[in-house]
Amino acid sequence: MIALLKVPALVFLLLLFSINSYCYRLPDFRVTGKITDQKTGEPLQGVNIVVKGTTTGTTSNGEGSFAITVPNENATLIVSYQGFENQEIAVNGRASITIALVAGTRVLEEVIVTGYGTESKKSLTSSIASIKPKDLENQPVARLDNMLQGRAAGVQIVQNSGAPGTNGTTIRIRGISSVRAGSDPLLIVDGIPLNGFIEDINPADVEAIDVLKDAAASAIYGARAANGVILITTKRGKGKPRTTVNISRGIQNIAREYEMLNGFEHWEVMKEMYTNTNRPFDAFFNEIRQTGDTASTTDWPGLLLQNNAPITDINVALRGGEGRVKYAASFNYFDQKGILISSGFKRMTARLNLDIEVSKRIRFGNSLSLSNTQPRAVNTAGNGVYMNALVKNPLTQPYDSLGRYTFFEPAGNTGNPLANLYEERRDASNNRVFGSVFGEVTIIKDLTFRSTWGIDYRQGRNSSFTPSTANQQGRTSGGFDLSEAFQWINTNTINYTKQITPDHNLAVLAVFEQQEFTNRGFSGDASNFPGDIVSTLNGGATIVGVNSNQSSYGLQSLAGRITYSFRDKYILSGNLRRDGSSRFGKNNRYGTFPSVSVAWNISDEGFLRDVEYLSYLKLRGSAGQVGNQGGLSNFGNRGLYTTGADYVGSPGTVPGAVPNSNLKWETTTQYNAGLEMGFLNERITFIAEAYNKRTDDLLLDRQLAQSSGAGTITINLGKIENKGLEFGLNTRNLTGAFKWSTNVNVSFNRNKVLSLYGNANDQIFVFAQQRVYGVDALESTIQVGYPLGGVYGYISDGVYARSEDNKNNLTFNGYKFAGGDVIYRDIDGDGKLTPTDRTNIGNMQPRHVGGINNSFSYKGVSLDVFMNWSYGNDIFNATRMSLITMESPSRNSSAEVRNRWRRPGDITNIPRAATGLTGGANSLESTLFIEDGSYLRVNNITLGYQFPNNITQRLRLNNLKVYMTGNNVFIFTKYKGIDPDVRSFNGEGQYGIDFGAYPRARIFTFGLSLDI
Amino acid sequence: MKYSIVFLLFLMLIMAGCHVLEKEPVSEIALDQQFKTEVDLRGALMGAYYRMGLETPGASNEMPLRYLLNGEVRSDSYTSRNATTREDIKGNINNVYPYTNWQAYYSSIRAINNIIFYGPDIPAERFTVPLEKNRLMGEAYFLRGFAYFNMLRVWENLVLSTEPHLNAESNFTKPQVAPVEIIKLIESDLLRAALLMPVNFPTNHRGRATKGAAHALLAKFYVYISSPYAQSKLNPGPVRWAEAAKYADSVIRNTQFRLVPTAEYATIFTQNSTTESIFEIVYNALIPGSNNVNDFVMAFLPRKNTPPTGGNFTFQPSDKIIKAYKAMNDVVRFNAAMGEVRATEGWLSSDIGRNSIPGQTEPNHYVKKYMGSLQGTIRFSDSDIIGLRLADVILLRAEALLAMGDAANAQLELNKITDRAGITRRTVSVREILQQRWLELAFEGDRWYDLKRHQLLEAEAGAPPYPKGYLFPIINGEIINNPNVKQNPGWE
Repeated sequence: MIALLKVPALVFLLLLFSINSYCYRLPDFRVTGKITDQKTGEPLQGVNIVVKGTTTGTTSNGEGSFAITVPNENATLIVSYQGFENQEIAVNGRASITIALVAGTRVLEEVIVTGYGTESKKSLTSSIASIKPKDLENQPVARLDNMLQGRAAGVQIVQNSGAPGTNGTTIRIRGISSVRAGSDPLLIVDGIPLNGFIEDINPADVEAIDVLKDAAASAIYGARAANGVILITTKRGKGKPRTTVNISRGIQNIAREYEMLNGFEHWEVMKEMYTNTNRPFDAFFNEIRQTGDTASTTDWPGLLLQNNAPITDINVALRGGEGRVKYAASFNYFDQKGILISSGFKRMTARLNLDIEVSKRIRFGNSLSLSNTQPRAVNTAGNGVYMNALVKNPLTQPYDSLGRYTFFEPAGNTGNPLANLYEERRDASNNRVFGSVFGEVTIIKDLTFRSTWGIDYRQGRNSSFTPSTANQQGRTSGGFDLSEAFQWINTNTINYTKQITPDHNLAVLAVFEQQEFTNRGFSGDASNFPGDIVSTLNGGATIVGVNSNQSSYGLQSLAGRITYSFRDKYILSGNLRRDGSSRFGKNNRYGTFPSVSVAWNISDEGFLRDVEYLSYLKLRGSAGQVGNQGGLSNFGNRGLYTTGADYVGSPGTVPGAVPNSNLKWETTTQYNAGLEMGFLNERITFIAEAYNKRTDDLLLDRQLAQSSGAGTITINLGKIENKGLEFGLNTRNLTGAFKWSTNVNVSFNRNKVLSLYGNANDQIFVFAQQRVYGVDALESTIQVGYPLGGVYGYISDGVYARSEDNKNNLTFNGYKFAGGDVIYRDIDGDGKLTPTDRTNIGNMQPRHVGGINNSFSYKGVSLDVFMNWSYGNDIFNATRMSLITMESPSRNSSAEVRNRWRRPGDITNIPRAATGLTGGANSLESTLFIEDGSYLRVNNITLGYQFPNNITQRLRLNNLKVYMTGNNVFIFTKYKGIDPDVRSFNGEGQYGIDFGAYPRARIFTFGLSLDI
Repeated sequence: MKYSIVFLLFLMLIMAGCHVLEKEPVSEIALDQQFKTEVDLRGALMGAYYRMGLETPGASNEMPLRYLLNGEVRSDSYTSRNATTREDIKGNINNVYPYTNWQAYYSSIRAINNIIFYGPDIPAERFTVPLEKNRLMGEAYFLRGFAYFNMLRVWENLVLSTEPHLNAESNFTKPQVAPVEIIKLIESDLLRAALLMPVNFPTNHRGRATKGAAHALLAKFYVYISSPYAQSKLNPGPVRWAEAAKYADSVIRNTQFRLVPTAEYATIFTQNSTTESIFEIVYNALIPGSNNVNDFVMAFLPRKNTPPTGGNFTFQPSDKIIKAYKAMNDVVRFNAAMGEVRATEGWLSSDIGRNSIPGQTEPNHYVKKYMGSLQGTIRFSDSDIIGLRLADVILLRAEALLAMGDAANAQLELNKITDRAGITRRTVSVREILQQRWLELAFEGDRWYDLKRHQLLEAEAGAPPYPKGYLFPIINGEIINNPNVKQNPGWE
């Protein structure tokens, strides 16, 4: 114990202790007890025990045991547990009490966080997925959003790469509903919109995550809600003060990697490249052959890897509040080194949440988070270091005889990825203040007024310096960027809840809200430094550029909600929000977003009351409209003149896009139906949902006639549709001493572009990349009648075994395909391969995604196995395209090319090695590189042991647990790349392209958590 | 308790007075704020100049080479070591060839239309000198006339765009108009420009238009519409030789413009903004920023092993023009216009000697008028585009006078050019004037227009089928985005 506490956090911990003992009088009567299920006799964990008339409380541990101090011997305990009926137990001087709880048949009091309020699960009329805090525990992941993968139906999450911390995560709630206005959901933390960068949040601070999926749930957020809303609620204090310490440390290693050719094999491929196209394989290359042989193979990608990269997560929190002040203070230190050298992510956060009861009618409080993150990112997409290392000639050496980096490479790929990673100095640091204060007053009975004032201020700094040692030319250059994002929000709500008669209940909510967002940036770049020591811009003799900018927008909103329920059986709810945005054109300054929803708790009806096995049955439905204003630039509707159009040093301005004062939000209309069922006292719960979402008035940039001189105009046109089904099943399979429970969820979404500019064959191309490492401009397509973001290219049918097999004499830019070349389908049948032979060759949207979690426990031992999957999506593997096309001697190939075509008659899928083929005829964007991206990942396995009470009590602890976690333990997939959970280009409309993505790590951690 | 309520009220009210919906851009200028003062107007005008000379390599709105190539690449001045480019030069030009794209011109015209629409409403008191408003407006009219005149000669069937696009309902798909409508606009723009602009240059370079530029362009314009091609095809009304001669004369009498002496002839191209210059689009690599260079070095200079000082050698002088200089013993102008690709200058060996161009007899030469500047060991492509210069105007006057029957005075004008070139005097004739224009203005983007207006393309430049070859095609993208635009005859 003492050894474990010898961590840097000890100082902080002691500080927290001293606050603890100074502020609060320790009570004097101690009660211990055990809580069991009356029916089965098994102990119940997590039962709430509160001393009546106070806020003193505790929860039972894994053995059902609890210990609580009460003010006197005559105190009364209130015992409550979800799915069971509450009990009041008088202590009557007993020091030990055994309590048996009776399973409640109609109790569904789980609290769901809704927009500007909370609701019990039973009275909810809309579609909200709640993610339990347990799902977020013990995951060695920096980002909260990555932890949500597979945890909630309707939420699709793609980890864009394996880079720590800042990899960017794609979150799609019920599909993609926009082409260029952004498809990311609105994130709200404790009522304040989070202006991006979710990695600034400490996941251990999070109490609950609620995903608002249908329009009835999200319409209260109006013009920003079309992509769904994720409400994040942080932990607040209650009950007896308790210090929680959680420390985990782990190691990370690359999970999968490409097998590459060795030096000799690469030399053979190089030689074939020349002989196959009748080019002289000159002395130059023979020279390399002499200087290098198989023994001297350099494993370039291997040199970039850091083995057993450490990951450390330390959380210390003090939470409690038995008097008028409730408090939750926490500190987090997170440090993850990347599996690529010199990359990583570091985070420090401090949080203080307070609730102060001034009087019975007045309450104040705050949420405050201070954070510092230090991402150490390396460029991996496309032409980044990892791709460079993969293709780097294995016959070349990283260092010369004097130990300097080599930049020599006869075939042209002169970069040295090691020099990039070791020499380039990058230093980024982001500071954030995110928080709010609120005051709440109960004006009269049932009527509460609350005002919140929140701030999100994030300042980012990015310094970089390239020393002369990092490149062949010995050039030095440096950059310094500062960015500042500031947001304030003022929310005022009035809540009125009235029980008109015991049967009729009414709740009314009114909201007035104002927000303002301002971004500022500064960047400076210089070159020509006096050496490699000074890395700040003062050293640069040449100023390359200095720039600063500022932009802001505001929102002003009124919103309301009325909920009426009859005997909690029939519930009707309506929402309305009116949003004014400075981004909207002056003819559409305000948008109105309504929704209605109904719920029917059928199991409360008399005719079902006697059906024993059915404990809960509810039907609900909703309809509504929400908006998306993300694609609007702050002032785009007014037509902007931009600077920098200078003529011979005289400052000049030029007009940009045409003004459009009719510009407005995209409107998504959504219908939702839900069915919730509970069997055998909620031992089995099942939820099914169906939805239909249609987005109109898509914001598109329309290409105007060149003769208008105007380039493009942003307009509201186009429609997109998402339809889907979601299922969730939770079962408690075994409930004895050995417990086993299972949660499964699966989501089906079908996405289709209904129209764009009004014509049936409209198509928008999104280009990903200029030609680099043999990967040509990748085209994604947004095409009417297809799911969004397919890849556009040729259909390939293998490789010609012999030149004679090209029976139709198909040519490409005059080149006739020969034996060993890729067989492309000549769709228009004109004998020539031209762009018109291309088609939509990949559907990047999965047929279904889901997750399954199994929890086992026996006494103090628990085992959680979580798997998630994605099925039926294609991936365009551009990394592999680069590694198997063998058209340039400057690129090494993967081991797959050992099966390449070598002589007439070879039947294979890998084309011949050939340099100088017309237009790279064998490396066109084609189905050759489309792969099935389906996978099932054993995402998280946690084995924990909770020490029994007699030990913890001896240690004067409330709780002590140790655990081991494996993350990304195993993946079942046919995908040939490193990881199918990938999105290298994250522009709108670009999905499922893998190009040099940062490889994914397999992580094992060991952790300890204790409560004092 | 009381204080708590006050606190709560503050929370609620602190921002109540905020006008969060009233936002103004800080790093850009909203259109409704752009034209308020003299500085605004000048900024917008500089933006128009910027667009007229904008270099975005490889992009469809790439501008500088277009001036030189539209007016000459399909004439007899150029050839190329590259077979594809040679096909293009010969006229096998297809719809995707970038110089068929008029986007850059129209994007400049849009910037100018805004100035002409909003500029007049800026109150006179917002100008330090009242006449400054006239100058700035005059320059805008000049630039529009200049752009439309170039486009008229290239595509002829143009969309007439003179109004700004102020909202989404604006007509972005106007049909083309008869060439005479464009001719009327050019004439009225240039006359207005001549009226508004003062004589003097506001800068120490000749990158801004003045009254002289307007007069010079008017002379060129009147000669064009009076020429046989325009008279037979464009319905421009009666010949205007007298106006052409008059405006040319006004430029010639303008003491700001003097022919550069023979000994310094090459400085017209190496120094730029010489006394002979009337209007240039100025580039200067010493000014920070990316838009102060063009792509002439890449297009014209041969290749070197060290890339920063060499080009791509895409376009090179034809056998015919080399022989034409030699036939006239025209050493001064020849040496200023081109040089032989010699090993001593360090060019790539494969660019030295003769290309395998069918029929080529002369050794490879390179265009020398756009060498840019050397800063240390790095060559920057920052030679100016010489839009108008005195030698051009003198020859225009000669042509106009000859057409009006005043051969004597035409001979005097022609002599000025041959004397300055240091060659023996030549007897004036239309053919002789055209020959002198070719050798004087070689690679400055005039030859194709000159042959075209005298209907000599077939005879002198050969190549594509005519009359189709008299016009450039309109790029496909335009026809897709604007269904009202029709492809030029022969290019459908």
